[in-house]
Amino acid sequence: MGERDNIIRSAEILEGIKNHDREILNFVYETYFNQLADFIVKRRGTESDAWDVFQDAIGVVYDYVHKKDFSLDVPFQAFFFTVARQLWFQRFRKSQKETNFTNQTMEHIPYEDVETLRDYMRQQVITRLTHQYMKKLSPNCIKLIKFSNMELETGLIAKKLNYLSNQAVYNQRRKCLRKLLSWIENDPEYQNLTDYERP
Amino acid sequence: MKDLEKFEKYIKGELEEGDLWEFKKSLEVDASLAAEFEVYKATLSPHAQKKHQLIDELNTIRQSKTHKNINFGWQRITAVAAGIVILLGTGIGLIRMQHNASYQELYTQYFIAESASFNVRSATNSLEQPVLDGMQFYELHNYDAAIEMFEKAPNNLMGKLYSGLSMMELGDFDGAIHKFDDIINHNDNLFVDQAEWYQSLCFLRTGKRSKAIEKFQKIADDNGVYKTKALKILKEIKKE
Repeated sequence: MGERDNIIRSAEILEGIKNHDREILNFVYETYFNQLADFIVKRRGTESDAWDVFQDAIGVVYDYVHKKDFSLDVPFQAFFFTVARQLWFQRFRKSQKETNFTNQTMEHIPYEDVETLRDYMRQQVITRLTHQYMKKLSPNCIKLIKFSNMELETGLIAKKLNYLSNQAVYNQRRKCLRKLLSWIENDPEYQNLTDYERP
Repeated sequence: MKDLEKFEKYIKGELEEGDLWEFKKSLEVDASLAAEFEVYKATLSPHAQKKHQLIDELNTIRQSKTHKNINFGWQRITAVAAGIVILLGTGIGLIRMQHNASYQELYTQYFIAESASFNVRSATNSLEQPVLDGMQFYELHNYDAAIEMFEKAPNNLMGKLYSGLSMMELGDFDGAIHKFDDIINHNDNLFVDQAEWYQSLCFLRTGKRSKAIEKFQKIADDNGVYKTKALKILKEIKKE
Protein backbone atom coordinates (compact mmCIF):
# COMPACT_ATOMS: atom_id res chain seq x y z
CA MET A 1 0.00 0.00 0.00
CA GLY A 2 1.51 3.38 -1.05
CA GLU A 3 1.66 6.42 1.17
CA ARG A 4 -1.20 8.09 -0.71
CA ASP A 5 -3.41 5.02 -0.29
CA ASN A 6 -2.43 5.00 3.33
CA ILE A 7 -3.54 8.59 3.83
CA ILE A 8 -6.84 7.94 2.03
CA ARG A 9 -7.45 4.86 4.14
CA SER A 10 -6.56 6.96 7.17
CA ALA A 11 -9.19 9.52 6.24
CA GLU A 12 -11.78 6.73 6.04
CA ILE A 13 -10.77 5.42 9.46
CA LEU A 14 -10.91 8.86 11.04
CA GLU A 15 -14.31 9.57 9.50
CA GLY A 16 -15.50 6.18 10.77
CA ILE A 17 -14.31 6.88 14.31
CA LYS A 18 -15.94 10.30 14.18
CA ASN A 19 -19.28 8.72 13.19
CA HIS A 20 -19.09 5.67 15.51
CA ASP A 21 -19.01 3.41 12.43
CA ARG A 22 -19.11 -0.11 13.89
CA GLU A 23 -17.31 -1.64 10.92
CA ILE A 24 -14.42 0.82 11.19
CA LEU A 25 -14.23 0.44 14.99
CA ASN A 26 -14.10 -3.31 14.50
CA PHE A 27 -11.34 -2.89 11.94
CA VAL A 28 -9.31 -0.64 14.23
CA TYR A 29 -9.71 -3.07 17.14
CA GLU A 30 -8.75 -6.10 15.06
CA THR A 31 -5.82 -4.37 13.37
CA TYR A 32 -4.26 -2.43 16.21
CA PHE A 33 -5.28 -3.77 19.60
CA ASN A 34 -3.00 -6.81 19.58
CA GLN A 35 -0.06 -4.72 18.38
CA LEU A 36 -0.65 -2.28 21.19
CA ALA A 37 -1.11 -5.05 23.75
CA ASP A 38 2.19 -6.64 22.63
CA PHE A 39 3.94 -3.31 23.01
CA ILE A 40 2.53 -2.76 26.50
CA VAL A 41 2.91 -6.31 27.80
CA LYS A 42 6.56 -6.32 26.71
CA ARG A 43 7.01 -3.21 28.84
CA ARG A 44 5.74 -4.69 32.08
CA GLY A 45 2.11 -3.74 31.48
CA THR A 46 -0.94 -6.01 31.43
CA GLU A 47 -3.63 -6.64 28.85
CA SER A 48 -5.99 -4.66 31.04
CA ASP A 49 -3.60 -1.67 30.88
CA ALA A 50 -3.52 -2.12 27.12
CA TRP A 51 -7.32 -2.04 26.93
CA ASP A 52 -7.50 1.20 28.94
CA VAL A 53 -4.82 2.77 26.76
CA PHE A 54 -6.56 1.58 23.58
CA GLN A 55 -9.86 3.15 24.65
CA ASP A 56 -8.10 6.35 25.67
CA ALA A 57 -6.22 6.59 22.39
CA ILE A 58 -9.44 6.15 20.41
CA GLY A 59 -11.10 8.76 22.65
CA VAL A 60 -8.27 11.23 21.97
CA VAL A 61 -8.50 10.58 18.21
CA TYR A 62 -12.26 11.11 18.50
CA ASP A 63 -11.76 14.51 20.13
CA TYR A 64 -9.08 15.41 17.61
CA VAL A 65 -11.29 14.69 14.59
CA HIS A 66 -14.05 16.79 16.14
CA LYS A 67 -11.73 19.78 16.33
CA LYS A 68 -12.92 22.60 14.05
CA ASP A 69 -9.66 23.01 12.11
CA PHE A 70 -8.78 19.35 12.13
CA SER A 71 -6.38 17.99 9.51
CA LEU A 72 -4.01 15.04 9.64
CA ASP A 73 -0.97 14.64 7.42
CA VAL A 74 0.40 11.43 8.91
CA PRO A 75 -1.11 7.96 8.43
CA PHE A 76 -3.65 6.94 11.04
CA GLN A 77 -1.46 4.16 12.35
CA ALA A 78 1.42 6.53 13.13
CA PHE A 79 -0.90 9.02 14.79
CA PHE A 80 -2.73 6.39 16.81
CA PHE A 81 0.43 4.74 18.12
CA THR A 82 2.02 8.08 18.92
CA VAL A 83 -0.95 8.97 21.11
CA ALA A 84 -1.19 5.45 22.59
CA ARG A 85 2.51 5.29 23.46
CA GLN A 86 2.36 8.70 25.08
CA LEU A 87 -0.64 7.63 27.15
CA TRP A 88 1.13 4.44 28.17
CA PHE A 89 4.40 6.16 29.10
CA GLN A 90 2.55 8.63 31.29
CA ARG A 91 0.64 5.86 33.01
CA PHE A 92 3.65 3.57 33.39
CA ARG A 93 6.05 6.25 34.51
CA LYS A 94 3.72 7.27 37.29
CA SER A 95 2.93 3.76 38.43
CA GLN A 96 6.58 2.64 38.41
CA LYS A 97 8.11 5.93 39.54
CA GLU A 98 10.26 5.64 36.43
CA THR A 99 11.71 8.86 35.04
CA ASN A 100 13.72 7.74 32.03
CA PHE A 101 10.97 8.23 29.46
CA THR A 102 11.06 11.36 27.39
CA ASN A 103 8.45 13.10 25.27
CA GLN A 104 10.09 12.03 22.01
CA THR A 105 7.04 9.85 21.30
CA MET A 106 5.09 12.94 20.24
CA GLU A 107 7.37 13.46 17.23
CA HIS A 108 4.68 12.72 14.60
CA ILE A 109 2.31 15.35 15.97
CA PRO A 110 2.34 18.88 14.58
CA TYR A 111 4.01 21.10 17.17
CA GLU A 112 0.99 23.39 17.55
CA ASP A 113 -1.23 20.42 18.38
CA VAL A 114 0.88 18.83 21.11
CA GLU A 115 -0.60 20.90 23.89
CA THR A 116 -4.15 20.38 22.63
CA LEU A 117 -3.56 16.64 22.56
CA ARG A 118 -2.26 16.68 26.12
CA ASP A 119 -5.52 18.35 27.17
CA TYR A 120 -7.48 15.73 25.26
CA MET A 121 -5.50 12.93 26.93
CA ARG A 122 -6.24 14.30 30.36
CA GLN A 123 -9.91 14.81 29.57
CA GLN A 124 -10.16 11.35 28.03
CA VAL A 125 -8.79 9.63 31.14
CA ILE A 126 -11.38 11.54 33.19
CA THR A 127 -14.11 10.53 30.73
CA ARG A 128 -13.14 6.85 31.05
CA LEU A 129 -13.08 7.07 34.85
CA THR A 130 -16.44 8.86 34.81
CA HIS A 131 -17.86 6.11 32.61
CA GLN A 132 -16.50 3.50 35.00
CA TYR A 133 -17.78 5.14 38.19
CA MET A 134 -21.15 6.17 36.78
CA LYS A 135 -22.11 2.50 36.95
CA LYS A 136 -21.74 2.68 40.73
CA LEU A 137 -24.26 5.51 41.07
CA SER A 138 -27.83 4.79 42.16
CA PRO A 139 -30.30 4.08 39.33
CA ASN A 140 -31.94 7.42 40.14
CA CYS A 141 -28.69 9.32 39.64
CA ILE A 142 -28.01 7.46 36.41
CA LYS A 143 -31.48 8.36 35.15
CA LEU A 144 -31.00 11.97 36.11
CA ILE A 145 -27.70 12.16 34.26
CA LYS A 146 -29.01 10.34 31.19
CA PHE A 147 -32.11 12.53 31.00
CA SER A 148 -29.98 15.64 31.39
CA ASN A 149 -27.76 14.45 28.56
CA MET A 150 -30.81 13.93 26.40
CA GLU A 151 -31.27 17.68 26.79
CA LEU A 152 -34.73 17.33 28.28
CA GLU A 153 -36.05 20.51 29.89
CA THR A 154 -35.37 20.57 33.63
CA GLY A 155 -39.11 20.92 34.26
CA LEU A 156 -39.81 17.78 32.27
CA ILE A 157 -37.09 15.87 34.14
CA ALA A 158 -38.66 17.02 37.43
CA LYS A 159 -42.03 15.72 36.24
CA LYS A 160 -40.67 12.41 34.96
CA LEU A 161 -38.69 11.70 38.12
CA ASN A 162 -41.24 13.11 40.56
CA TYR A 163 -39.20 16.06 41.87
CA LEU A 164 -41.18 18.96 43.26
CA SER A 165 -39.26 21.72 41.50
CA ASN A 166 -36.50 22.48 39.01
CA GLN A 167 -34.29 23.43 41.95
CA ALA A 168 -34.76 19.94 43.42
CA VAL A 169 -33.49 18.51 40.12
CA TYR A 170 -30.41 20.77 40.28
CA ASN A 171 -29.80 19.83 43.90
CA GLN A 172 -30.07 16.12 43.27
CA ARG A 173 -27.89 16.33 40.17
CA ARG A 174 -25.32 18.27 42.17
CA LYS A 175 -25.32 15.51 44.80
CA CYS A 176 -24.87 12.81 42.16
CA LEU A 177 -22.00 14.67 40.51
CA ARG A 178 -20.35 15.35 43.84
CA LYS A 179 -20.45 11.62 44.60
CA LEU A 180 -18.94 10.87 41.21
CA LEU A 181 -16.25 13.47 41.73
CA SER A 182 -15.31 12.05 45.14
CA TRP A 183 -14.80 8.57 43.65
CA ILE A 184 -12.80 9.93 40.74
CA GLU A 185 -10.64 12.12 42.95
CA ASN A 186 -9.66 9.08 45.00
CA ASP A 187 -8.73 7.01 41.97
CA PRO A 188 -4.94 6.62 41.58
CA GLU A 189 -5.21 7.20 37.84
CA TYR A 190 -6.81 10.58 38.44
CA GLN A 191 -4.16 11.44 40.99
CA ASN A 192 -1.52 10.62 38.37
CA LEU A 193 -2.91 13.09 35.90
CA THR A 194 -0.73 15.99 36.93
CA ASP A 195 1.73 15.17 34.14
CA TYR A 196 -0.73 16.32 31.53
CA GLU A 197 -1.11 19.72 33.07
CA ARG A 198 0.31 22.66 31.26
CA PRO A 199 3.74 23.81 32.43
CA MET B 1 -20.39 21.06 42.72
CA LYS B 2 -20.16 24.75 43.28
CA ASP B 3 -21.87 26.24 40.30
CA LEU B 4 -23.74 23.71 38.26
CA GLU B 5 -25.96 26.26 36.55
CA LYS B 6 -22.94 28.26 35.44
CA PHE B 7 -21.25 25.12 34.08
CA GLU B 8 -24.37 24.36 32.11
CA LYS B 9 -24.62 27.85 30.66
CA TYR B 10 -20.93 27.85 29.77
CA ILE B 11 -21.23 24.54 27.89
CA LYS B 12 -24.28 25.83 26.04
CA GLY B 13 -22.51 29.13 25.23
CA GLU B 14 -25.13 31.09 27.15
CA LEU B 15 -22.87 33.03 29.55
CA GLU B 16 -22.91 36.80 29.07
CA GLU B 17 -19.57 38.40 28.22
CA GLY B 18 -18.81 39.62 31.75
CA ASP B 19 -19.81 36.35 33.39
CA LEU B 20 -17.86 34.42 30.78
CA TRP B 21 -14.66 36.31 31.53
CA GLU B 22 -15.19 35.88 35.27
CA PHE B 23 -15.89 32.17 34.86
CA LYS B 24 -12.76 31.55 32.78
CA LYS B 25 -10.68 33.45 35.29
CA SER B 26 -12.14 31.40 38.16
CA LEU B 27 -11.21 28.20 36.33
CA GLU B 28 -7.60 29.38 36.18
CA VAL B 29 -7.28 30.32 39.83
CA ASP B 30 -9.59 27.86 41.55
CA ALA B 31 -8.18 24.31 41.16
CA SER B 32 -11.15 22.61 42.81
CA LEU B 33 -13.60 24.46 40.56
CA ALA B 34 -11.51 23.41 37.54
CA ALA B 35 -11.57 19.77 38.72
CA GLU B 36 -15.32 19.90 39.20
CA PHE B 37 -15.76 21.41 35.78
CA GLU B 38 -13.68 18.66 34.19
CA VAL B 39 -15.86 15.97 35.75
CA TYR B 40 -18.97 17.92 34.75
CA LYS B 41 -17.74 18.08 31.14
CA ALA B 42 -16.97 14.36 31.18
CA THR B 43 -20.45 13.58 32.48
CA LEU B 44 -22.98 16.13 31.39
CA SER B 45 -22.34 17.47 27.94
CA PRO B 46 -23.59 16.26 24.56
CA HIS B 47 -19.99 15.50 23.54
CA ALA B 48 -19.40 13.50 26.73
CA GLN B 49 -22.54 11.50 26.09
CA LYS B 50 -21.24 10.60 22.63
CA LYS B 51 -17.90 9.61 24.14
CA HIS B 52 -19.60 7.37 26.68
CA GLN B 53 -21.43 5.74 23.80
CA LEU B 54 -18.12 5.28 22.02
CA ILE B 55 -16.64 3.59 25.10
CA ASP B 56 -19.69 1.29 25.27
CA GLU B 57 -19.31 0.44 21.60
CA LEU B 58 -15.62 -0.38 22.01
CA ASN B 59 -16.40 -2.54 25.03
CA THR B 60 -19.11 -4.39 23.12
CA ILE B 61 -16.64 -5.08 20.30
CA ARG B 62 -14.02 -6.29 22.75
CA GLN B 63 -16.53 -8.48 24.59
CA SER B 64 -17.68 -10.12 21.38
CA LYS B 65 -14.06 -10.79 20.32
CA THR B 66 -13.03 -11.98 23.76
CA HIS B 67 -15.98 -14.36 23.95
CA LYS B 68 -14.99 -15.72 20.57
CA ASN B 69 -11.38 -16.11 21.70
CA ILE B 70 -12.42 -17.80 24.92
CA ASN B 71 -14.64 -20.13 22.97
CA PHE B 72 -11.92 -20.81 20.42
CA GLY B 73 -9.53 -21.40 23.31
CA TRP B 74 -11.85 -24.00 24.75
CA GLN B 75 -12.37 -25.41 21.33
CA ARG B 76 -8.63 -25.94 20.97
CA ILE B 77 -8.63 -27.87 24.22
CA THR B 78 -11.68 -29.76 23.01
CA ALA B 79 -9.86 -30.46 19.76
CA VAL B 80 -6.97 -32.09 21.60
CA ALA B 81 -9.40 -34.18 23.61
CA ALA B 82 -11.31 -35.00 20.48
CA GLY B 83 -8.08 -36.09 18.82
CA ILE B 84 -7.47 -38.56 21.60
CA VAL B 85 -11.02 -39.74 21.38
CA ILE B 86 -10.66 -40.12 17.62
CA LEU B 87 -7.63 -42.24 18.23
CA LEU B 88 -9.87 -44.34 20.37
CA GLY B 89 -12.34 -44.62 17.57
CA THR B 90 -14.81 -41.71 17.78
CA GLY B 91 -14.85 -38.21 16.27
CA ILE B 92 -17.86 -36.80 18.11
CA GLY B 93 -15.97 -34.14 20.08
CA LEU B 94 -14.36 -32.60 17.01
CA ILE B 95 -17.62 -32.48 15.12
CA ARG B 96 -19.32 -30.77 18.06
CA MET B 97 -16.50 -28.22 18.23
CA GLN B 98 -16.91 -27.33 14.57
CA HIS B 99 -20.65 -27.04 15.02
CA ASN B 100 -20.34 -24.68 17.97
CA ALA B 101 -18.08 -22.34 16.01
CA SER B 102 -20.45 -22.24 13.07
CA TYR B 103 -23.50 -21.77 15.35
CA GLN B 104 -21.84 -18.71 16.83
CA GLU B 105 -21.21 -17.36 13.35
CA LEU B 106 -24.84 -17.96 12.41
CA TYR B 107 -25.95 -16.24 15.59
CA THR B 108 -23.79 -13.21 14.85
CA GLN B 109 -25.17 -13.11 11.33
CA TYR B 110 -28.82 -13.27 12.39
CA PHE B 111 -28.91 -11.43 15.72
CA ILE B 112 -29.68 -7.83 14.88
CA ALA B 113 -30.29 -5.70 17.94
CA GLU B 114 -33.91 -4.62 18.08
CA SER B 115 -34.49 -0.87 18.17
CA ALA B 116 -36.66 0.24 21.07
CA SER B 117 -38.01 3.32 19.33
CA PHE B 118 -40.32 1.48 16.89
CA ASN B 119 -41.99 -0.54 19.62
CA VAL B 120 -42.29 2.48 21.90
CA ARG B 121 -43.92 4.46 19.13
CA SER B 122 -46.27 1.66 18.21
CA ALA B 123 -47.16 0.70 21.77
CA THR B 124 -50.21 2.01 23.53
CA ASN B 125 -50.01 5.06 25.76
CA SER B 126 -50.53 2.88 28.78
CA LEU B 127 -46.87 1.81 29.00
CA GLU B 128 -45.63 1.87 32.56
CA GLN B 129 -42.99 4.46 33.46
CA PRO B 130 -40.24 1.97 34.45
CA VAL B 131 -40.65 0.27 31.06
CA LEU B 132 -40.27 3.60 29.24
CA ASP B 133 -37.22 4.37 31.35
CA GLY B 134 -35.85 0.91 30.66
CA MET B 135 -36.30 1.45 26.93
CA GLN B 136 -34.30 4.65 27.17
CA PHE B 137 -31.47 2.82 28.93
CA TYR B 138 -31.70 0.06 26.30
CA GLU B 139 -31.35 2.62 23.52
CA LEU B 140 -28.29 4.03 25.30
CA HIS B 141 -26.80 0.49 25.42
CA ASN B 142 -26.89 0.61 29.22
CA TYR B 143 -28.29 -2.91 29.50
CA ASP B 144 -27.73 -3.46 33.23
CA ALA B 145 -29.72 -0.33 34.10
CA ALA B 146 -32.38 -1.28 31.52
CA ILE B 147 -32.89 -4.71 33.13
CA GLU B 148 -33.12 -3.09 36.56
CA MET B 149 -35.90 -0.82 35.28
CA PHE B 150 -37.81 -3.63 33.57
CA GLU B 151 -37.72 -5.63 36.81
CA LYS B 152 -39.83 -2.86 38.36
CA ALA B 153 -42.68 -3.76 36.02
CA PRO B 154 -42.44 -7.57 36.22
CA ASN B 155 -45.72 -8.26 34.43
CA ASN B 156 -45.17 -5.99 31.47
CA LEU B 157 -44.62 -8.10 28.37
CA MET B 158 -42.74 -5.45 26.41
CA GLY B 159 -40.50 -5.04 29.44
CA LYS B 160 -39.90 -8.80 29.41
CA LEU B 161 -39.02 -8.75 25.71
CA TYR B 162 -36.48 -5.96 26.08
CA SER B 163 -35.18 -7.43 29.31
CA GLY B 164 -34.48 -10.63 27.33
CA LEU B 165 -32.83 -8.66 24.54
CA SER B 166 -30.69 -6.79 27.09
CA MET B 167 -29.63 -10.14 28.57
CA MET B 168 -28.65 -11.35 25.10
CA GLU B 169 -26.51 -8.23 24.67
CA LEU B 170 -24.84 -9.05 27.99
CA GLY B 171 -24.30 -12.71 27.03
CA ASP B 172 -26.80 -14.08 29.61
CA PHE B 173 -28.57 -16.41 27.16
CA ASP B 174 -30.17 -18.66 29.79
CA GLY B 175 -31.72 -15.63 31.50
CA ALA B 176 -32.99 -14.41 28.12
CA ILE B 177 -34.52 -17.82 27.29
CA HIS B 178 -36.43 -17.67 30.57
CA LYS B 179 -37.81 -14.16 29.80
CA PHE B 180 -38.89 -15.17 26.30
CA ASP B 181 -40.57 -18.27 27.74
CA ASP B 182 -42.82 -16.03 29.87
CA ILE B 183 -43.96 -14.16 26.76
CA ILE B 184 -44.50 -17.33 24.72
CA ASN B 185 -46.43 -19.04 27.52
CA HIS B 186 -48.67 -15.98 27.93
CA ASN B 187 -49.45 -16.54 24.22
CA ASP B 188 -52.08 -13.84 23.71
CA ASN B 189 -49.80 -10.86 23.03
CA LEU B 190 -48.07 -8.90 20.28
CA PHE B 191 -44.57 -10.05 21.11
CA VAL B 192 -44.78 -13.82 20.70
CA ASP B 193 -43.17 -13.78 17.22
CA GLN B 194 -40.18 -11.76 18.43
CA ALA B 195 -39.84 -13.82 21.61
CA GLU B 196 -39.82 -17.10 19.66
CA TRP B 197 -37.27 -15.81 17.16
CA TYR B 198 -34.84 -14.44 19.73
CA GLN B 199 -35.26 -17.48 21.98
CA SER B 200 -34.36 -19.75 19.05
CA LEU B 201 -31.23 -17.66 18.48
CA CYS B 202 -30.34 -18.13 22.17
CA PHE B 203 -30.62 -21.91 21.79
CA LEU B 204 -28.43 -21.72 18.71
CA ARG B 205 -25.86 -19.54 20.44
CA THR B 206 -25.62 -21.91 23.40
CA GLY B 207 -25.14 -24.94 21.11
CA LYS B 208 -28.53 -26.56 21.83
CA ARG B 209 -28.92 -27.76 18.26
CA SER B 210 -32.02 -29.93 18.45
CA LYS B 211 -33.92 -27.39 20.56
CA ALA B 212 -32.93 -24.62 18.11
CA ILE B 213 -34.07 -26.68 15.12
CA GLU B 214 -37.38 -27.47 16.82
CA LYS B 215 -38.00 -23.77 17.56
CA PHE B 216 -36.90 -22.46 14.13
CA GLN B 217 -39.06 -25.15 12.50
CA LYS B 218 -42.10 -23.94 14.45
CA ILE B 219 -41.44 -20.36 13.29
CA ALA B 220 -41.06 -21.57 9.69
CA ASP B 221 -44.35 -23.48 9.89
CA ASP B 222 -46.29 -20.61 11.48
CA ASN B 223 -46.08 -18.15 8.55
CA GLY B 224 -45.00 -15.32 10.86
CA VAL B 225 -42.68 -12.39 10.06
CA TYR B 226 -39.58 -14.45 10.77
CA LYS B 227 -40.57 -17.36 8.50
CA THR B 228 -38.05 -16.60 5.70
CA LYS B 229 -35.19 -16.07 8.11
CA ALA B 230 -36.08 -19.25 9.98
CA LEU B 231 -36.09 -21.29 6.75
CA LYS B 232 -32.68 -19.88 5.80
CA ILE B 233 -31.13 -20.54 9.18
CA LEU B 234 -32.59 -24.07 9.27
CA LYS B 235 -30.94 -24.79 5.93
CA GLU B 236 -27.61 -23.58 7.33
CA ILE B 237 -27.89 -25.61 10.53
CA LYS B 238 -28.88 -28.77 8.70
CA LYS B 239 -25.85 -28.42 6.39
CA GLU B 240 -23.63 -29.01 9.42
